[in-house]
Amino acid sequence: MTGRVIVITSGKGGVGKTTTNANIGTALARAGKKVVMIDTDLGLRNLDLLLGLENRIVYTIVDVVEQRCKLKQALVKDKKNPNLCLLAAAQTRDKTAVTEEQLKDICEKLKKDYDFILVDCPAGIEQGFQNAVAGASEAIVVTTPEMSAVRDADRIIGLLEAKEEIKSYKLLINRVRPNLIKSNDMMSVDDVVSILSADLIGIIPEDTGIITSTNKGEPIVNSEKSLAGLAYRNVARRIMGEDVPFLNLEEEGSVLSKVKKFFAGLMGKEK
Amino acid sequence: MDKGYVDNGFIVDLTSAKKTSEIIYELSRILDMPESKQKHICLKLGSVDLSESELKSVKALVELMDSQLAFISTSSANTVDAATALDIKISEFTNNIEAPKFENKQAAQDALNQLDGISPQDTQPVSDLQNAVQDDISPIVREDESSAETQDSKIEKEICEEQSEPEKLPTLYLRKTIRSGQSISSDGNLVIIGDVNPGAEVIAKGDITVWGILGGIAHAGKDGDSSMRIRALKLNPVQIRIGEIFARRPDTINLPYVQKSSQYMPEEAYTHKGNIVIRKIHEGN
Repeated sequence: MTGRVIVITSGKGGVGKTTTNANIGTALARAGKKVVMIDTDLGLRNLDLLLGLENRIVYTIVDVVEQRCKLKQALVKDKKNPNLCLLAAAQTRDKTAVTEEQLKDICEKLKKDYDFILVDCPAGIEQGFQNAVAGASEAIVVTTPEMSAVRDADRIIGLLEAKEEIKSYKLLINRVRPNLIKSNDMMSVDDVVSILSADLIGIIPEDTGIITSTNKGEPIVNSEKSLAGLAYRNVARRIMGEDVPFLNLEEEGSVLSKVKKFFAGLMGKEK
Repeated sequence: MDKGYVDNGFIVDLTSAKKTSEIIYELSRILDMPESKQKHICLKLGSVDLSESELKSVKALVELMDSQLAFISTSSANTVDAATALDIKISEFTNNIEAPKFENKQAAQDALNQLDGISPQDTQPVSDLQNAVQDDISPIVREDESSAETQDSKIEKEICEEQSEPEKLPTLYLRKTIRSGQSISSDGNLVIIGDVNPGAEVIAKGDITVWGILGGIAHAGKDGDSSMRIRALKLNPVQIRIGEIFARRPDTINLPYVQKSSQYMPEEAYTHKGNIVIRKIHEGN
């Protein structure tokens, strides 16, 4: 088996790289794929929290690199899904504790046993980014519909294009708020795509459920009701090669707007 | 003409100014007052050395306020030279006609400290005002200090310019999007099939042509040749530089990005009398 190594990156911090990583990883594992997630954000690790695995970490990626344990020993299995595991970052070290070569080596080894290796990239374009990208052949660039995030995504895409190992990159637009786009207060998905001229792999609507799911350590893809969860499951299906249409966010309004629409219809009939 | 007073005008005493920035600040403060409009203005410049381009900016500032620069007085030989080159009348008069008094000098001093060290091309108010006046010609401009040269070298340069027409230069042809943080430089012309995104810069010795939206910084004629031109399907640059002349996007236009459209009106930026002008390409040549 040769797995696909996908790096999830953004340039700007706080746009949802780690959330995306946790959710896509979980969704792929739910679909029966063997998935390993690598957190390369040394010193500022978060991925374990989102998955609720913090208390199970014994060895980290630095322990693997410094040969204090075997690679297999450091992989933390997910609570629910045996197909999913995590290679955690060390919280007590910084980005220089691992080199590009070492990460490449780890990815090569994991490729043999897993379908997908998702690398969670730290913010910025320094060593941490270079490390994370080193072993990957595909990339997902996460951005939000804000000028600053789009500008940084543009920078990142420029850097990815310059890397020979990266064969393809896709764009994921996070925290989209259809009502703000409608009122012209937010850049639309089309605006972002046209600036970055990159292929889209997903549009994730803003969802307050993400906050509670992060706090609980339970990825939102596991919640069947959530629109963001559905969007992430669709992203996972697209990664696996399925042709899934994008959600039409404008029609998926809140309950209140549906009720309003219903009454508006009644009023129309009365007239 | 030196009558010791000015018809329909007044004398601005700037002899206490030590720097060019102080002169420009003080002058713009005075000219901002409604009673300063449409007057003949005499400047007492004192000992400050003004280069030709600096003096030109001062003159432009006066003219922007619908006033005229009647004559100047100065004790600096350099300023005299510059004024001669620009055909500005010089007076050596000494008299005691009072300059208008303006209060609140202390507050002005604070603002002045921030202005210190600002070189002429940074005196952006000129650009903005000019922009407001010339509505349809969007970007504006100022000459750089380095463009002040003697007549002789200018002639020499013109000969050089004739020799380096863009047609005779090699061309770098790129089919890609230039993204934030990337810098493309060419020793000849530069053709880009794709967008130049904000945060990127494209620099060429000759012309720059962008088959897409130009949103970053473009610098044509990097060796100082201001006859070069910048063309794009849509010009939305943060800054344009042609030769030694530069213009920035006016603050009044707030277009962080331009939506791609199926209809473009190709645009061209070129220099005209020391200003950068943008026009639609097919509006005649």
